[in-house]
Amino acid sequence: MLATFLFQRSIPPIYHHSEPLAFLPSGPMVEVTTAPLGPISPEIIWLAAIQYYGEEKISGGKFEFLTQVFDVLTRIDPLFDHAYQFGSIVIADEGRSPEQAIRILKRGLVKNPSSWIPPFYIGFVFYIHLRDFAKAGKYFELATRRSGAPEYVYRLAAFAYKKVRLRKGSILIWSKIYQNTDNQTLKEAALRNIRCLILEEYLEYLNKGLQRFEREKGRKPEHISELIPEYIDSIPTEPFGGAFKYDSSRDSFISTTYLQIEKIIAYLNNKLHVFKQKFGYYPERLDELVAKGVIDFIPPHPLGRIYNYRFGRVIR
Amino acid sequence: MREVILNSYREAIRDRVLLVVLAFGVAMIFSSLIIGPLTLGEEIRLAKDIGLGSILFFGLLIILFIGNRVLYRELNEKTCYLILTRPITRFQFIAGKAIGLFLTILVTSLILGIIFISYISLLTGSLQITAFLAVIGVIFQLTMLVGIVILAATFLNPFLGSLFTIFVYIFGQMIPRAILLAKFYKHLAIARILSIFHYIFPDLTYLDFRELLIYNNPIPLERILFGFSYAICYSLVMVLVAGLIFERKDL
Repeated sequence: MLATFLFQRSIPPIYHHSEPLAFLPSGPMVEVTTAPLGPISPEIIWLAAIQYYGEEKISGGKFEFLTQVFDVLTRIDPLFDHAYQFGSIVIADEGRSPEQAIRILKRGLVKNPSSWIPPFYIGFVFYIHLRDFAKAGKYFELATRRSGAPEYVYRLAAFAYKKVRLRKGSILIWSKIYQNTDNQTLKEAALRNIRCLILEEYLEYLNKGLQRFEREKGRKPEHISELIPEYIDSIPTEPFGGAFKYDSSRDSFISTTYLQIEKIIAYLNNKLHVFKQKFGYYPERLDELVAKGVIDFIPPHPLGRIYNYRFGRVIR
Repeated sequence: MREVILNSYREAIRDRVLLVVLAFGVAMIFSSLIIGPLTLGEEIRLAKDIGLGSILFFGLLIILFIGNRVLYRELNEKTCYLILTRPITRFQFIAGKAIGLFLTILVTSLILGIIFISYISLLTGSLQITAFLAVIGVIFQLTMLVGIVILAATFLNPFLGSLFTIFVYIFGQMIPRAILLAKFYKHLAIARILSIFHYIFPDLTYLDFRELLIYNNPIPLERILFGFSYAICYSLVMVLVAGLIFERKDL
């Protein structure tokens, strides 16, 4: 055993993709093939889904199989509300496939007829990602008709129908998700989104004050403090720990966090170019830059998000 | 016959394989303590599913390891000749072996079941009454497999008997879902063929009370009673067929 231990310890870790999920059966056949595993099968797929999500997040992957793994999971356990909730949020948000999230949730609408979760999250995807307020309102209202729907679902239905400002409704949804989940990853995603929305709210507030200042004074401010107290009450705290700065070239206030993101994206695109020159092709995934020694590590996204890497370029 | 039952039970319970399988079963029930924190808030659900799955899986292992050898050993070591010289029919001998094996499964499943229920009751902070029914459901599922393994033991060696039992278990779990799938895709001919197999293979889904355990969704009393009577009737038929085969067997 000691020899085995020493031998295995000497084996270097293998750089790998999450391709095993490519062999996961898809479609309705999965219900038949996983049946002999009994009650353990949904747990295996749930753990595989979490592991896959974590791996892709760390390595800056494309979440190629995210839809498939949650599709399989909700087929073999159609009453698993947490899978619909977590799956739809990560597929729409980080997987950037809101339509796929809706497809899975619509099946849940039929197969899990007593739960308010599938219609609520269809409304959520329509409201936040697709900005279709009429459809969002329809599904929020449907969620209110199912037992156990909390009070805020009624408020959101009203918000969507009245086309209340997107940001206000979005903050409400994310804060409720934050309060009502034990899932740490979901909590982090909700907090990140709330902070982003608050940051945009503050920038809008500052830039409105700036426009009024320029209109009335006929000049540009030299420093943000010139706006206080006539045009803005105070300088808000930047939610990601950065600061607000007046950028004369853009004639607007900007967040230093956003500037940092722009810098990192420019750096990564430059390194992607280096990679292409060295190997003759663009990497499949961002972590190949590290694996092939082009960079030492991928700088963490200042907003805690995943870099949007498509076709050899990182975009915002 | 009482002697056959007790002998068969004693022999099985003394088997060291049983202890090993039980130890793994207990370890697997508690494995959710290690895997739980990785499930993003689904620790209880994982503990319930893994625990219930363990009782079924390790019960199946006991049936495969011990059930198949129960009859083979008697025939191989020719001890059955001694028993059959007494006033006992071959059918009673088979029935005794089946009941002995059933008692072994009952005792081991109850041990695992009590550990499982206590564990999830501690995790949730309340006595999980629904888990009792789920465990009883699994015991009835295993009862059907006892019938299958006794039937296999009358005409197959232990290795082929195990393969036969695994095959029946897998198909028994798959066929009900495959029928629904065939009907969904309007392959009615395939659905009809599968329905014939459905009458032969045991349908373990009648005794699957996971929905009640995990989601607290009530299960109608008729379905529960039907499931129990179905399992008893199926096992009896299997033992009856095994008895008939053994009666005609050239010893």
